[in-house]
Amino acid sequence: MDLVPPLFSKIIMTRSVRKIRWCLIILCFCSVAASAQNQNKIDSMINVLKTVKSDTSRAILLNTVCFKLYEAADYSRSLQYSDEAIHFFDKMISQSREEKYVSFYTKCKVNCLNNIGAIYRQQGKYDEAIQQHTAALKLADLSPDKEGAGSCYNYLATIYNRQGNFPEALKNYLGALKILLTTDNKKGIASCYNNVGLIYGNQDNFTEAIKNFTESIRIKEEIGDKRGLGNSYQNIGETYSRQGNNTEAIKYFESSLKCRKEAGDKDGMSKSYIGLGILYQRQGNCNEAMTTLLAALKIREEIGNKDGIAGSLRGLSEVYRAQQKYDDAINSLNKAVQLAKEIGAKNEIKECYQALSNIYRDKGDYENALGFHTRYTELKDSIFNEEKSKQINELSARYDSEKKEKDIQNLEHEKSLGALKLQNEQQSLLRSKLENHLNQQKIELLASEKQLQQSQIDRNKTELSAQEATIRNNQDKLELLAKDSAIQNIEIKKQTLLRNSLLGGLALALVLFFFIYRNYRTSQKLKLENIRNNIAADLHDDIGSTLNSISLFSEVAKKEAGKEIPALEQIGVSSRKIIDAMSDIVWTINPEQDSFENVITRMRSLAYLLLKAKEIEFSFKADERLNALSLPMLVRKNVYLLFKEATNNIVKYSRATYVTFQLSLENKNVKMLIRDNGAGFDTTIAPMGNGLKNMKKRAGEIGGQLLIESTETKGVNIELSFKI
Amino acid sequence: MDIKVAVFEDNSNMREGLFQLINGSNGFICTGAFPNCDDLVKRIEKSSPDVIVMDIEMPGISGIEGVRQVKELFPEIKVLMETIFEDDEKIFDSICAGAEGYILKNTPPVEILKAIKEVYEGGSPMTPTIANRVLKMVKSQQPSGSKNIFNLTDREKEILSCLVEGMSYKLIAAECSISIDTVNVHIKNIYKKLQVHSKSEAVAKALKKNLV
Repeated sequence: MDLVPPLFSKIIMTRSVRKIRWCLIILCFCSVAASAQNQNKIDSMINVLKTVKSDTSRAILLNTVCFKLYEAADYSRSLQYSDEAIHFFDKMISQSREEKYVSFYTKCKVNCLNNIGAIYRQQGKYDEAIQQHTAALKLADLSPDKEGAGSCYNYLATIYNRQGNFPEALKNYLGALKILLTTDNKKGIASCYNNVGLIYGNQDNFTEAIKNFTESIRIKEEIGDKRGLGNSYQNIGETYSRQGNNTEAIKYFESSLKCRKEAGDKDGMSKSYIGLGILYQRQGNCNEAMTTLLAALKIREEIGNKDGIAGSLRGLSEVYRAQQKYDDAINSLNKAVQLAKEIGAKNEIKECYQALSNIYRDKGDYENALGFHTRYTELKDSIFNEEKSKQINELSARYDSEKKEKDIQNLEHEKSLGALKLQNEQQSLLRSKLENHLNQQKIELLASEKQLQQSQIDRNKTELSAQEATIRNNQDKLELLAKDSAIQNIEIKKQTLLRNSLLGGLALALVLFFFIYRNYRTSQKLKLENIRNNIAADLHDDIGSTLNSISLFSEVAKKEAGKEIPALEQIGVSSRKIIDAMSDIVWTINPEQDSFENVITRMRSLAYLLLKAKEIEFSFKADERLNALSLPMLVRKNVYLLFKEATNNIVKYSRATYVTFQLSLENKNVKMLIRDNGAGFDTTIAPMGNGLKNMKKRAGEIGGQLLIESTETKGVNIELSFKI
Repeated sequence: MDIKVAVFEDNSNMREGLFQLINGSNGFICTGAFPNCDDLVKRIEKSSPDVIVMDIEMPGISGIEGVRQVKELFPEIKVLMETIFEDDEKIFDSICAGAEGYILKNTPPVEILKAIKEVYEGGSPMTPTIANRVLKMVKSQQPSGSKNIFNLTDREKEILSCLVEGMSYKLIAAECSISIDTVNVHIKNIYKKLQVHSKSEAVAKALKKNLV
């Protein structure tokens, strides 16, 4: 997996941070030193760190030292310096007055957090790693320069990918790529392509995988990124290896090894050696395989990668086994088991047990072979159970959180309804206030008119001109009042309009929300269905195979006993019966099997298998128009199982020599006819056995009609019809 | 002479079970049991089987690809496919790649031995499932192409239709007024045509990609 390195050059380019400029000199010094030995380089940087005076250059140096130590797989020292760095950055962020310094130290902190995350990931502490990167992402999101966020996405995706959570990984890579493509950070873009390639590889899409790796290599060659080239070459090699193309794979592993040697990438070199070793072993070239695997082991011991050492030892044991050096093989494996136990790598332990069992078997030590085989099986089951319970827990957690979300949504809905009601009430209050106001004014008007009349009566005998003047004056007043009331009318209308548009908007939002929510539900349902299928298929493969082997072993035991043992016979029959039932369930819930054509294929094959064994002739005819129809799960299940029940009854009880099956379609009505020429039974006398009862129940469940006709000596006639 | 059988099966329980069943039965001996198709040539040369029982789904090189390689290098070895589901597409593909027949994994042990013996003796049973699949291919190709791609004769197509409807070889012989042996010959010819077709198609594809 590629890592995006801290983006120092970008930091230095930040305009107006003049003080930082001279750091360029240090960085130049560092890159000159890059050609020298890795360790020397780090030591000299640590020396500079002791004497450096400028805060900004101290920051850059701290980041570089942490990253270089990480690259050299010296995790404990890297973590030690990271701790120091974080303290220093936090101090500087709180002390800095100017925005540019705050953002500079924030960037440094983001880099440092990501570095810590990468170390945790290398140590297998995925949850801690995710915590670090998420914290970094939170910080980076606040900064105006988005590139920091890009590398956080990349780191997160890397972890999700290791956990096998490909959708989440892809989401994060796309987040990273989107940001990176807006920059000229070629190294980052190259990493992203490499990682997208890895996801495709994990999903067995080899063509796309190689395409993306090649694109990554193109960019890395352009910028001379040896370490990255080593990774991408290794990835192409592994892709070819998985396809079985050994020659191409070896070519790419060798290129990878060359680049990694030049870059001093020890962990990477060990991976290339392992890749080569496996291929040489596959080709039967034991000597080469031994040499490369030993080289990988040596490096891993140097860097203290325990998981890796165990893997290498197991690889070596395979070579010893091929050379029939069984004791050496067993020795290596015992060491590997011990190491794997120290770090709790269950999968590795499991593989070692299996390898040990194989070697003891080759050696002829069957007791030990069986012992290790048992341990292997037990461990495998326990890992399988752990995974399943984890999946189930995840499912129920998801269900709970969905439920909570829904509750919150309901509450919010109610809240918004309440707000609406309040608003309505306020508006009607406002309206009545306005009306009151208007009435008051009317009353005032009336009062003033009355007053006027009074004064008219009072002043009846005064001058006419004065009266006229007063009337004119009053008329003016009246007009003014009328105007006022008109304005108030308009106000009311405005308010009503506002209210109506608010209501309309809210209704629209509700409709929109409903559709979005429904869409979300459907996608959740689909996801659940997929998980359900995976569980069913896993169960089927694992339990099915085990049951099959029980059936086989019971036969072996019978043969060894040399006589008929009814209990053994029963064991075989019962285990096959369970497989059969399970196969029906898995088939029924598989949404890919919902075409009628599929049902017909399965019926035809069942009829052939059951009837051929009893040498009963049959004819199976199906209307071709049925093929295009699709059947819901419930109908599919019931129709098929009814068919199966009927056919089984014929095989068991009928003594028939000929059976007719016919499926026809008429006006959206499907008819299934099963007729045999066997002994039959009297439907009025024969008690309703479980079989017949079940068939009736199944017909009822799909709203169909079931007709069973039979008379003694004339066979049985079964007719099912149902609408679709 | 015991029939020598090699088993390719990735599930260790099943592999062990088949190994012991075959070795514990008179007339059979299991000369090799392998978890995948890696190093196929070496493993076959070492175990020199008469019949191979091959799981259709295996990690790495699939069973279908495995049959193709076996048939290219050791055409005289008979191959019996083994599958969990009645997956007509994969079964059909393995028949085209040269497999002589198939069994479902939950077939009773006695029937498994019977099937091994049957392919060893040169029988190639055609089930309604395969017959239906072949007819479907022929029909889907015909309207566009001028003649059917497998070059099946009318008699061969007639026999396939009878098989789809569930008729036994005996009944087909009566229906077409021919002997059971002739029915067998027709069916062997159909198998041959399927495999020749699949081979010529593979060559055509390889030429297109400049691989040959």
